[in-house]
Amino acid sequence: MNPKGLALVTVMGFILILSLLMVPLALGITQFTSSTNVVANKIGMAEARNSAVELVRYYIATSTTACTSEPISGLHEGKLAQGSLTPTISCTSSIPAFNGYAYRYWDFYVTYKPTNAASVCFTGSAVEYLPVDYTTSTVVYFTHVEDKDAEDEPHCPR
Amino acid sequence: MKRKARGFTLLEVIIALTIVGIIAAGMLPALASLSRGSLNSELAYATPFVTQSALNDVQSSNVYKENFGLTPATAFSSNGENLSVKTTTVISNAPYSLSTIISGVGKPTVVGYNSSQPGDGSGGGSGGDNPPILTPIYVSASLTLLATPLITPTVTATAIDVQYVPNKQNNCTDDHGVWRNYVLDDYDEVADDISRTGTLLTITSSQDKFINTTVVIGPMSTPTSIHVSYSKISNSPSFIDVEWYIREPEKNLCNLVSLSSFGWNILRRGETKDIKGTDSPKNIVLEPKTGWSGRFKPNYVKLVFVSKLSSKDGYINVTIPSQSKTTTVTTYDPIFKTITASPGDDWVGWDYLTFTVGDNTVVTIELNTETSAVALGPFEKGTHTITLKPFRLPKEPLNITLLASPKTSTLPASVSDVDIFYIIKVVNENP
Repeated sequence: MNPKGLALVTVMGFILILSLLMVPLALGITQFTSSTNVVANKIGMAEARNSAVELVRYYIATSTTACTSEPISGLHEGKLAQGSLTPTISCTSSIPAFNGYAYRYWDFYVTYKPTNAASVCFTGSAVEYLPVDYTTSTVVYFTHVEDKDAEDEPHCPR
Repeated sequence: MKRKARGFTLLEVIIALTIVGIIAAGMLPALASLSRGSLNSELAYATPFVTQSALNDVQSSNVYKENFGLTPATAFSSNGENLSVKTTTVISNAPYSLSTIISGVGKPTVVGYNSSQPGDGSGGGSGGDNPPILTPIYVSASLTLLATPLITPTVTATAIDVQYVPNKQNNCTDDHGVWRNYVLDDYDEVADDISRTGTLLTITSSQDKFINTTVVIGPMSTPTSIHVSYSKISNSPSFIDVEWYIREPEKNLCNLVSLSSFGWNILRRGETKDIKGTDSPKNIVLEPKTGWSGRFKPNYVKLVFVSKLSSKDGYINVTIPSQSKTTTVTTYDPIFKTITASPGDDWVGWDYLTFTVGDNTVVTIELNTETSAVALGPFEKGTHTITLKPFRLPKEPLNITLLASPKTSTLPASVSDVDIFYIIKVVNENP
């Protein structure tokens, strides 16, 4: 065997090994880049969920509609950088009081339409605490919030 | 032939290493590019986190800001009331914007809550120029809806007629159909004013036989004359003897009209009038002159006529005071009134309703808007305050219907001083 040929094969093999060692590194960086979008969407949805709660809190606290169990739709959308929020709230029951505190129970549905992902419906319940005087503000407590597929939840605004 | 083994010469090794070095040097740009890609990926990955930290005013490491220039910029927009949107943008190789909505109302009071908490928006944290969310002032205002007392309308009842009830209509079983008795039956027991229009009782002659007739009048409380006229009496002796009795109120007509005087107090015994026959009617007036006392009123008076007429066709007419009282009974009907309170532009909510209920009054209240209705009451005498806020009445004209009913119909009912208080919002006065 020609010794020079042996040396050439040795060098080529060495280069091949180095190249193969670079592959997982390149793949890792590529995967890292794609996961960044997922993280951004997750963070955007987390803030959207917080915003949905705040939006619902605002509409409940400022509601001047009698408790009729009818969904209150047509509320203004919440415009976010990461998407939009379309809320619907409905008062399910109320406990009035002559001299004391009163409560109203609410269900809410907020459709979150992100700019680059599928819609999500935030739904849950809240209890509105109504002091009898205006020295104390109305307080809205959220009992739970959950994420649902907007297409699967018929009450969610489209 | 055995071949002698030999290694590489030094020259061969140097040449090989040189070739490897040249090839490796050709890969250096690729490695540098890979390093830049790795950094960009790292920054793209970190940008959302940096943005979220800045959005929520969470103090984070300055490594990304100082070394890589990831500087967040925050902006606010508000609907002018209690809702604002806070948006933070970080410029990097992958610019990222994140927004959150902040409600200025409805928040519970949390222990440890301070102005730098997320959502407060009062300028805490690294937000820099965050404008404060203006907290509106709620001020109570009032509207007098009814100052003049609402008094139930007066209804003057017509006089209740006092009736003479012929005894035969009383279905008394022991009168044998012979006693022509009359009872002044006043169901209201307040017959104080008995006029003298007269109810005619004719006692026909039985020719020389005694006739007993009982007339019961009552209840009555004033001296009342009994007019007696007679006619066609022969010259033979004829007379009428009248006995006056008085009795406490009695509702059993059959007991009253019997001839028996048991249980009656005699008021005037045997006033005998001799009468003589004539064709033209003559009058005798029998007046209760003595013993008539107010302490008996209202009482029944029984007049027992014992008469004997000599002529066959004679008769005696006894005119009994007739035509009842003219008592006026004043009653008061319930009254209702609807008052409308209209919310103004600055209206936030109805606060409370105050009103004063007078004596002898029961008040119920209905609150109606176009989309809601609330019934309240009953309320009795006193000043009442009803908190309206729990009813969450909408921003619509509020119709307040007051229904005032007298507890006793002969006394008026009233409700007055109806004031409604509502909350108005003074915006942007306490930044």
